[in-house]
Amino acid sequence: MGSNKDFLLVEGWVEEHGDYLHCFATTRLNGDREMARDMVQETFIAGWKAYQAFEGKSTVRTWLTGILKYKIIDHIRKQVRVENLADEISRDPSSDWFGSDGRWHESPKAWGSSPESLCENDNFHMILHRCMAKLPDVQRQVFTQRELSGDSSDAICKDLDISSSNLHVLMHRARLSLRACLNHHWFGKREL
Amino acid sequence: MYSCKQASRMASDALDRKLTWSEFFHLKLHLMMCGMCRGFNQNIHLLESALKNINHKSSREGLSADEKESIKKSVKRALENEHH
Repeated sequence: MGSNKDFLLVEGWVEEHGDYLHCFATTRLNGDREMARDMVQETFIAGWKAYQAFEGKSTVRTWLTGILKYKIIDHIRKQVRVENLADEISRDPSSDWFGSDGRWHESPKAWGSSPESLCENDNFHMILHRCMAKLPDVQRQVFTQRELSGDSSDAICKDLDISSSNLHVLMHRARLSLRACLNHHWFGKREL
Repeated sequence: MYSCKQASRMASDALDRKLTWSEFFHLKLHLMMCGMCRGFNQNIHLLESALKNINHKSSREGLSADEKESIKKSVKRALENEHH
């Protein structure tokens, strides 16, 4: 293939699918735009190399998304190493939240805000990101993939190679921590 | 009868999977009687909706023209290296 013709093809991909792929990657990489951009770039290069094998059974966008997804999973698996996961599961932080009788240490109360108003509030975003940054790696990965990327539980278990009960344990812990952090730094303060 | 620890786990699970009838019943029963767990349940639902809204907002921000140009340049460089 002549390189000029190839380049026109890839240039078209960048214009047509760049935004979509970048958004797909950003939500799965904890909002890391730079990392997402690098992965999208690698996807276009890999796509060009494999283009002859593309049989047109799906749309180009679906096909490129498949390549990108594979790269993201590879990256995440390296980051969320198996030993991290084993540590994270075996550690039981429930005494941080509950007494030995299973009762709350600190009583949760309903929060008086609408999701829409929170979404528009930049200070809330900042606090939310700080609270998410405090989560252990594995919890943060599972939580963002579930709540920000909107992936199904099954897809996350498959991507990270964990059981569904592990996923539910991690989601429960992430929600307990985030709820307490947001209550402390945001909702609790506003009520005073 | 669920403890608060168990009820909070079921309230969280309910956002990620379908509870069994028995789990659902025990969770509802606990929530009826426990204001603290009702508070927790409301908090995690609000958190989920807020994150969904944030996600819709951030996905409208695409790549800038500069970023697209930089991607094109890098890809072009990689393709040229392949040819040589």
